[in-house]
Amino acid sequence: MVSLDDLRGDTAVLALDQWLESMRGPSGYTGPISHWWDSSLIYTGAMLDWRYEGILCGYLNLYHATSNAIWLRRAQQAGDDLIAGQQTDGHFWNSSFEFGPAIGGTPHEAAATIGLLELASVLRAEKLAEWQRYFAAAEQTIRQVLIGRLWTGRGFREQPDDDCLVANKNATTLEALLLYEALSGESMQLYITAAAQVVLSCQVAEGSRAGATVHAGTHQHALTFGIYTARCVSAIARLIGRQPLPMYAAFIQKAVRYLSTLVQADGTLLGHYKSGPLIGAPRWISPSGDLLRAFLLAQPYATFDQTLIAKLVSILVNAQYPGGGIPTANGFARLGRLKFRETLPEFRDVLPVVGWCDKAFRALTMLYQPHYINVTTSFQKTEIDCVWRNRRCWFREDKTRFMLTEQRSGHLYYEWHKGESYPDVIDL
Amino acid sequence: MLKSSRERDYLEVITPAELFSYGMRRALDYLGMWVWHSRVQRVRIQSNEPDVIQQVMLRLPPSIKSVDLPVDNLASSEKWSWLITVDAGAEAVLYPFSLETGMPLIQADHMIGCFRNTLSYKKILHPASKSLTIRQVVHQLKFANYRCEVEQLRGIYPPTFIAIWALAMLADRLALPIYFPLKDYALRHITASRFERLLSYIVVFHGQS
Repeated sequence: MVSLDDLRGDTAVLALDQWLESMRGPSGYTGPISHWWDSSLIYTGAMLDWRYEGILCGYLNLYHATSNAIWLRRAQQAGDDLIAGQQTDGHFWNSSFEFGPAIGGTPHEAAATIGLLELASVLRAEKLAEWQRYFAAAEQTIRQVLIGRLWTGRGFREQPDDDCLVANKNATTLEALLLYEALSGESMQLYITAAAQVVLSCQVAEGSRAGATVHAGTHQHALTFGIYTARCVSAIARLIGRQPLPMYAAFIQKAVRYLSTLVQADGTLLGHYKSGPLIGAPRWISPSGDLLRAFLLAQPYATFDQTLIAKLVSILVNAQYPGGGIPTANGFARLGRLKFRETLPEFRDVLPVVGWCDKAFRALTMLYQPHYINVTTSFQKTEIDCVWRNRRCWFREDKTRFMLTEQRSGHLYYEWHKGESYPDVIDL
Repeated sequence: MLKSSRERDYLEVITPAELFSYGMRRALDYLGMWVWHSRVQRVRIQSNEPDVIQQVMLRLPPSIKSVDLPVDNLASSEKWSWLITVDAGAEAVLYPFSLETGMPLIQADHMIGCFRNTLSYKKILHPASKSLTIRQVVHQLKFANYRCEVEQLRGIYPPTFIAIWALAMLADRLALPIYFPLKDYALRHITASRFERLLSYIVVFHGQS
């Protein structure tokens, strides 16, 4: 068992909590987003997307570990954001992450539902009647959106107007349905089996990508991604606990072998192109939390080098800023290139993003032990040397804002006050 | 000659699919951002398109206390009924892709909108499409409010973007890995704040009196 305190992971968890609190606005967790597909740097308001999965589960992990009511209150605060932003049709307000303000993001609504159901489970176990509010909200999204609009009869589609069956999105929905079934007592077997079948059918059998899941949404490019494969591993690991079928164990074993090849000293490799070449850049940092979670959940079902867990914890902890946030990646300036080059990070790399840091938070809290001492510190400022369009810049973060300024001229490229829906300055 | 339904749609309205394109989303993001910078609480969305109105509503900052819509749109926007008022006193009037369709201008302290630009490659591809030039927009704004000055302008889909994007699309068609770096490089040039903004497919503006 990896000890978080040996790796400074215990203080990293508390610093992440402090940072997450600093990112809250009136309607929830805010902030600019960088991602492989696109980035949302103009709209920075609250979004009810997959960030709530990691935040809710992370706080509940801390509550399990410490029995400290503060963590349950934090989780309920996040659950209340979701309830307040749920529409009458079951969708969540602005649930599309990097896509910017849009309703109906996948797998984001399923992921938010996981958070709600985990919270409902804990509250029910504590015999607190409030569990029903969170359960009812999750049930509405499951019934009206996941089953009502995305179910095709053989899996869960990408969007109501796009029948593509994406492995990791089915995996996230599968996790939500497992939790829903446990709480409601109603069989979801039909949907769970189909979603699992989608996940298994996307796994690459051989070659340099063996074990990875192909992201069907990339169509002719047929990319494989580490973080999405990791999310599939986590879902199948939860499923195997209920249905111990050999095909699920085989899936996990092969997927974990693939994920093991992606772990580097300073981050995790993004994935592979169809014909086999590695996607050299960017390398994920905070999103690597999903790989850490996958390895932790896969332990009973797969054999792998156990030092990988300590390595992943170190990636997250060593990259953490004094303010508690964790940068997203390294190499966005060379996105999609085959070779990674050690250069200064770009603005999108150095951004700490709530919807990525939640992955690190959730995974690190899985290792949290009751004997760790809660130490709160004052918010530390961050100053990072980086580039934007080949110009040397400073990325600065304090308790209230993010700033990007050119080092030579002092020109302000970006200034965003935490909690606000838009930056004050954007000249990117 | 009878136009195809696709062409007719293109000429008349922004289709829902187009609303979710990279550039349209950014245009509406800028619109929302300038509403927020204006620090106003009452806005009017001057549009007849329910899909466009929905996308603007999603981007309004929480500081907005009331939204006034053309009366015909009230039913289609019931989700936000708690915000919607029929109120002539809007501090900012928003024109999301509606000036070029002939929506009338209303006087207000802030006029914020986006429109399809006549001086862009799209006009060459679709000569009959509805569009305006920034000069025409400035003229219209001045006519509606003689004190109005256009303070901010951004171009979306400038010529540089289009050139790189075309290469990216070719790589996409051929399933070449270079598609992803090209696409990212294009997206880094999707907005223009200098000369190129005048030749961009979409122009976003903020006029203030």
